Amino acid sequence: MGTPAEQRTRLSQPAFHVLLALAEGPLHGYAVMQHVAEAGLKLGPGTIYGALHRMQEAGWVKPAGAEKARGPSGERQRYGLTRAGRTVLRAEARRVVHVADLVRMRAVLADEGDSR
Amino acid sequence: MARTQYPSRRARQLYRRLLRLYPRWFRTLYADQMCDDFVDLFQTPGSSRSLASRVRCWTTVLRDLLVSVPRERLAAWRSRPPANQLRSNNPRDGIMASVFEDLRYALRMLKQHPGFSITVIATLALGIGANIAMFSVVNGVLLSSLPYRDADRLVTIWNRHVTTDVSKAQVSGPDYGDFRERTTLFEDFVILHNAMDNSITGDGPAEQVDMGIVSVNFFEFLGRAPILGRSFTQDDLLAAGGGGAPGPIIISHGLWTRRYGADPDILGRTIQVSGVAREVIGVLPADFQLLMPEYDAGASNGGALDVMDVWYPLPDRILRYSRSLGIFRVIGRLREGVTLRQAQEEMDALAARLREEHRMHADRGMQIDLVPMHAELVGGMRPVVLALFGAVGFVLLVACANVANLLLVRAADRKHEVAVRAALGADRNRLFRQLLTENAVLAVAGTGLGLLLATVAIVALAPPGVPLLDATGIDGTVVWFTVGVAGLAILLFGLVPAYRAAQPDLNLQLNRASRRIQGSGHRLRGGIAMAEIALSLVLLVGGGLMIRSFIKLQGARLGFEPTSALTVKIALPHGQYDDPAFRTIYWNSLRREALRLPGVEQAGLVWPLPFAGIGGEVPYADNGGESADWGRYVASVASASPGYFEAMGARLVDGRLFTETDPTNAKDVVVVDDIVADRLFPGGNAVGRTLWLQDRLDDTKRPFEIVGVVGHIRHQRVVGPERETIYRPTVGGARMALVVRTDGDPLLALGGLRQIATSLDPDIPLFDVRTFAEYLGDRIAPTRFTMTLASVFAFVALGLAAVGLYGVISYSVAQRTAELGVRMALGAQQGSILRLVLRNGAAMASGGIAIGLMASLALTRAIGSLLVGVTPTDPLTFLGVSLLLAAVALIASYIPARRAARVDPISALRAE
Repeated sequence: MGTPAEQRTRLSQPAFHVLLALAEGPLHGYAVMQHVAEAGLKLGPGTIYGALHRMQEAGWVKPAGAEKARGPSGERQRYGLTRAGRTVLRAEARRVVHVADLVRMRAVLADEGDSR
Repeated sequence: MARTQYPSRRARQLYRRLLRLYPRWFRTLYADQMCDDFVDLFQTPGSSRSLASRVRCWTTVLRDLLVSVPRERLAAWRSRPPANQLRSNNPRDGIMASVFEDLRYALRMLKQHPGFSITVIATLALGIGANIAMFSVVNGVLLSSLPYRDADRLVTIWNRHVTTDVSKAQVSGPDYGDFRERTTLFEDFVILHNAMDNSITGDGPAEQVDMGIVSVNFFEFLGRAPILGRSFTQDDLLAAGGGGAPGPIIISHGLWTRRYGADPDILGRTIQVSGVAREVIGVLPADFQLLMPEYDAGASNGGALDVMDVWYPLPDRILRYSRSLGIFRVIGRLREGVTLRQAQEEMDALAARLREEHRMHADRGMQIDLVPMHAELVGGMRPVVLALFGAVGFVLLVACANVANLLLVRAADRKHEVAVRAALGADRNRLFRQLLTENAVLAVAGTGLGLLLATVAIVALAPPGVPLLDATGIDGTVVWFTVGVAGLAILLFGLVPAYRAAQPDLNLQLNRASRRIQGSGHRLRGGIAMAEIALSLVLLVGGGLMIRSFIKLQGARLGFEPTSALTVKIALPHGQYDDPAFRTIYWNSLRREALRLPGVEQAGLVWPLPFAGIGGEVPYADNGGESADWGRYVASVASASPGYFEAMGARLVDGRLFTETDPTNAKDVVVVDDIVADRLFPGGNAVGRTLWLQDRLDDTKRPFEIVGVVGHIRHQRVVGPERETIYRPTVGGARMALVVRTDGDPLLALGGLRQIATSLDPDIPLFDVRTFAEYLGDRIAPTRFTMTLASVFAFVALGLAAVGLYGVISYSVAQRTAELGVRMALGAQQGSILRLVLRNGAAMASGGIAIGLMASLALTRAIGSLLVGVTPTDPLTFLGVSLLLAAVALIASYIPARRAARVDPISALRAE
């Protein structure tokens, strides 16, 4: 399958948010979904697991133990960042911060008054 | 916190089932976790358990499926080897795989029978392509909106004079002022006057242009800003009206590129327009067009669109001109939420008040009519486009019927294959699906080819003079329509044959002798052939009626001789030519010099030119006293010079034509056409009598002596009733058309005419150089176009029906070879076999014709408005078309019948 994600200069939006959610520590799929939702992005299970799967193949994410659950699986797989994953996340975060600086510098939001 | 019951067991089961859409490996890894997440999603603490929140959760889930299933499927497809390793034994997992299998099998089958496949695909492409092309036209012309801001709220506003039966009269300045001030349901109005007699001189050869004089808000109102420079402002008016510099102009993209090579520095430059230097302040976009037809009472499809190259802001003082001077076109925009009916009611009320306030409006019975701008533009095209759209629908039906028949015949041939596959354990549904896949592949291929055909056809067949057609093309709506048509086609031609073919009849295969039995399949195929004949008869009747109309148009009596006559228009600029004496000199010299040109036999001046202009409408009567019934008769009044009637080849009925002394004679004389003469003086002897005309400006009446009566010269339409014409002698106004009759090709005189014009005054251009044949061609073009397309559709359908009938009969002959062999062995004559088969064909043909005739009687009414000089139930057309179809059916059945009659009984029986 290859790991096209490594060659990409930019991460897809879901991938970035999944990595970001995992930055503080391993989470299971549903927790990732909730973290992503905080950023205003509504991603469903299929998208989350698809992204997690591809990032596992790329070596950015690894399984990190399981926690007990009451559902059919009996336990829930948690996922954590690898060293490579952290590097990718950091690079992307720098880019995002840079963009945010640009936004601030060009005063894009200035004429909106007290907008967020 | 009490746990809710949601998601219920059923919801969870549904989600688990939906997960089957994912590739197997994905499910193995994640399905359980996803189901956990699904439950959590609905039980998020804090989220209300209302219906709305459930809907929100389901929306998230479904959107997720929609996005991620294709992604994972694609990923799985790209990495096939691992997917193969995981190949399941679960039959349900095989749905996707089996679809691909069916597809591969279908493609192989179609490749093995190229003749069959090509026939079917070509037939479908023809039917579907014609539909796509016509729908693009419907979509572009009838369904689209005009390229203006809030175009659906734009209405054109006209006056109608009940007393004199004049509709679509233009509006006067003071009335326009009343629209603005005394209505509430309109957002805004704009006003427009086309000043036609303008020339551009100084920076190149003199060029004739139309100048649009418009209210300052015009371009802003339409939402079309200049691409270069700016629109008009109130300041432009003040500058223009204040006795200062002449007002500025905005020029068209066409003039900018044509005359000034798209010079980006055009802004600020001054241009000589009719002798006045005007500053250019803007250039309009290339696609800007005033999509508002000029008033043209004659043409049923509205008037022509005029092309204005120069735009000038309307000075306020023009708005204070007389109320009787209707020279403006007005467009209004309804306020949001206001219906046309409400706006019309408000205008009706205003018209009533204006009639009370102004005697002239009361006399005319003035009404105000609102017409949606889009309807104004394309309303006339509606019946044509819809009729042709209906026709292509029929063509598609015939095409589908034909393909269905081919498929049925093939299904009969494939009974053996189907039986074998059924015996090997293929279930009926699977067989049906497989056959339907084959049909779907045919439909997709036919649609693809049809789309291609349509793209070409739209460009190649575009009828002349249809507004908005340039914008026609394949857009999203057309694509959806195409998908719909293709789906419909599969249903029409594919469902029944696939269903029938998928019924394996093992008995039939066991008992080969039963091949002789005529099954219900034959009846079905015969029924379809009959339907094809009926459908193509309807199309043939439609096409036949259009052909008859066209012949009528071609043979119409025009009252003049259109061949060998050249016409040019000339407009004298303001200034020096404001003096009538100078005008007289110019026109007289032009006419005299033209007569000297080699090959020129006659020359005369007129305004307006038949088929090329709009004349004033003037009430007339046989006396000027109180007893006269003013308003009963209205005539077009034209100005004609001596020599005009001769140049036109008009027919003198009584009296004399204009002489050189008439224009300057103290006595006012007129020549009238025979319609006027018959109306006022039914007994004849109109010559020498007095006719009174009402002056449009001040309502005064003046007497004229009738010196001659000419046969009516058609000036607006080729057939149908027209307004009568009264001719006044003239030596020329500011604008005239010169008609030159030659003894050879009229265009040969053009070079000489140009030389004369240049030598008289190099700043005065000749424009609109055309022959009458061209003007008439334009008038006939829509009918010619409809007729051509309708005939093409009809003959395509006829061809398809003939092939269909031939196929059915020849197949039944092939099936009955053994039976016919036995008959002949028992002593049947060739003739009786021939008759037997022919009778079969004749039964289908006569049934089809009978049904088709009934359908035609019901349907041709719909195209009644397109017909000229022919009734929708024209017996000649109906009879001729039926005979044609019967003859074609006879030939289609005769060929297989002959083959049947030549069957060698020995070989037929040996085959048994």
